[in-house]
Amino acid sequence: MVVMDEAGVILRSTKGWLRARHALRGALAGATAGLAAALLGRAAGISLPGYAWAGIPLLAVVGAGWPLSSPRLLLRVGRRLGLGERLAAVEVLAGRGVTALLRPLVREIHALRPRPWRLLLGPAEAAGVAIAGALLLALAYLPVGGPRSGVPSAPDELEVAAQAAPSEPARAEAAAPQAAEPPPPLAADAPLLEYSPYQDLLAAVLGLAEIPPGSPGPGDLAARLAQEEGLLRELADKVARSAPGGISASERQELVPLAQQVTRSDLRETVVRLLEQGDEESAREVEEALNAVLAAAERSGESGGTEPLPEPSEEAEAAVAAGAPTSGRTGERGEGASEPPEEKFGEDLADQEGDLAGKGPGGPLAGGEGDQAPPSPGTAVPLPVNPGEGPARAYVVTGVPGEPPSSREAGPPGLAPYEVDLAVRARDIPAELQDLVRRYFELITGGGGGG
Amino acid sequence: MITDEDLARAQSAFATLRERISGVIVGQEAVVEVALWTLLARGHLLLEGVPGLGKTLLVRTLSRALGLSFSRIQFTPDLMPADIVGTNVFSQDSGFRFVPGPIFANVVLADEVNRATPKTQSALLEAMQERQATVGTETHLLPEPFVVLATQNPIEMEGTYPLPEAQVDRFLFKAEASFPGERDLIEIIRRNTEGGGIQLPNPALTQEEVLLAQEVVGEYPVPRPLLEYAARLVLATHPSGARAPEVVRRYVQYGASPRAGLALILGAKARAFLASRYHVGVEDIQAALRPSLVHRVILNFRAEAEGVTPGQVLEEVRKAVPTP
Repeated sequence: MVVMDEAGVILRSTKGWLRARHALRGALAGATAGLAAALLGRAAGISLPGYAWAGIPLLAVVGAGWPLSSPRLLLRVGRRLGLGERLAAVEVLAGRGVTALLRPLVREIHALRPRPWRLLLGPAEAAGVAIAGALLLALAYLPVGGPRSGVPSAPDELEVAAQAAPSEPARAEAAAPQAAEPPPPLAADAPLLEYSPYQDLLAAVLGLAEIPPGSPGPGDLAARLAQEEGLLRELADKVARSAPGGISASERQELVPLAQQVTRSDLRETVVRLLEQGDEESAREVEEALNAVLAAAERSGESGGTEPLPEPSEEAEAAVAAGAPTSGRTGERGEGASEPPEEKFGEDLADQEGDLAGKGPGGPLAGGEGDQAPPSPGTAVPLPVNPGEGPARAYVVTGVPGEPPSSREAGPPGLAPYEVDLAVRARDIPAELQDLVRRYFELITGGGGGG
Repeated sequence: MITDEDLARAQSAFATLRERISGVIVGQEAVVEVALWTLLARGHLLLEGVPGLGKTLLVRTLSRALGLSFSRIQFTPDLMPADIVGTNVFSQDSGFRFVPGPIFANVVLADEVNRATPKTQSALLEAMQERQATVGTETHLLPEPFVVLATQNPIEMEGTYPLPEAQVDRFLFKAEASFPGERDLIEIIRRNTEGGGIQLPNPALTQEEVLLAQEVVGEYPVPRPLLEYAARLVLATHPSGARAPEVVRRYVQYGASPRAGLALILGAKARAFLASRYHVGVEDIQAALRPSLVHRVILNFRAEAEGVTPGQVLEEVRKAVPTP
């Protein structure tokens, strides 16, 4: 009876691996179908609901429980494992109880040392992995059909997106200009930014990590914000007073050092350049630019972040454009982008270049996504789903405000105001801090660098 | 139920048998192989070949090495059924007494079986099928094991009575003896001309061991997919079959009978046993295809006109039917 037991062990082990193979095939089929659906959905601007991915483990369970057509399967498996028809013969003999033939067969099987785990590495499984991988790659490279691209979504953001799906015309309108753009590179391929306290802060805002001790907290944020606003207001007031008749040399000596303290680099460069020109027209442009930035920040705070920032006035746009070279296209980097990053918190704000989160220096304070028209007030903006990408990648890729730009010429856009707002709401940031966070991003990034 | 000792004994005995046969028969390994399949599968063999290829010598060697009783019947047109099965002879002392014919032996050589009349052939073939002979009102069982090895000459057809298809079907296998190559022919000449000529081997098996080996072969496992494969091979020889390849539709008049399927599986089992394996494989069935089906596939006139042989058709069938 020992040989019967051994035969039983061999058959049970083989069938167990067969079930594992079926489970793998089921999971691969589910993943392939899910990725294909997500790919089609992304092309059409439709988000795949999060629960759809539950089909993968479900199919794996179904595959594992799928009935095995034993003789034929054992015949094929035996050949796959280099056992020929021995496994199928063992099953026949075990059923008939012919131990005289079973014993040498079991001995032969043990001598051949089959490796049943190889069943998981068959051509069908390899093809499944290849197809799923290709779909994953395609999903990572395909531009989003919706209003947001490149920023991976957290699982709970999927639900937000599902609830706030835009209307079809708006989606089609938003998708149209992006279709011609080159696909953003894989998030995993993006160069990692050097460490900065801002990363910790942003991670905390997004709910990814606790703020480490010693990092700038909400108090620091408020102080920084007040300081920046005060500086801009002081500068605007002084420029307004000095504007009539042009700026004198003494006034310039007073104003330029102040302007050099402005955090936002494109604004700083523009203001300094205009101040050095010194004529009245330039002074008016400086005043209008500073007021436009302050007004935008205030509006962002008052609106609670649910409304996108308005397009800048023509005057402000002209003022900025007159002095600062604009990148012309969203997502392109401006001059000075290659300067090395600073690591100290106190210094990096002042020394950062203008390509904050993909925003070109001197670009308009546009809310929303780059060239796309901003959604109308009160319209919920969906977050496209990027399966397989989580907030951790967003943390790395999206461009942290105040951080040095990546080496990509046209990197993925950073956080738009509505994205900040969604993140703030999704992460249960205390109400008294929500405006602070929004205004912080607005002030530092100039609208979030909407690509 | 066979035991481990039965298995070891049967395999050892047949290994010795093959060794002794190869000491006498030069070349013709395929014919010897099929002859042993026939013995192990409890069937009968139709041995076809031109005269002088050692068919009779093979049968004599086999029966001698097997240690079984042997009889030879030279079929002629005037041979009567009673000359094969025997007859009742009246004796003044004991009345009628049955005198067994040459069919009552373990190994029977029916030499040039196609030279006897159909009536006599039927007597032989009935005994082959039923393994018994009826004379008058009495039925006499034939000894076990019982195997008929019939030979026929394929080229000399004058004065012959070709076996009807239904009777050919009674032979489990058909072996085709081929002309030896130069090296084998030299060896045949040397063995027959040196010293006292060829010496038949001493018995290597007993009757009990032959029966034991037959039982062991019967226990060999054949998984269901292989049974299905054998069935598909047989069905593929039928021109009206859905899976028949084009060559079958064009050249075959009648396909193989269900006995062909039995022959395929039994031959595959015997082949696996002789190869000292404990399971039947696809290659065993494929190897048994031609000996099992070549005499059961009846070609049409078009095939004869174009020189197509059953062997060629079977090769196409083998290629056309997918393996499990």
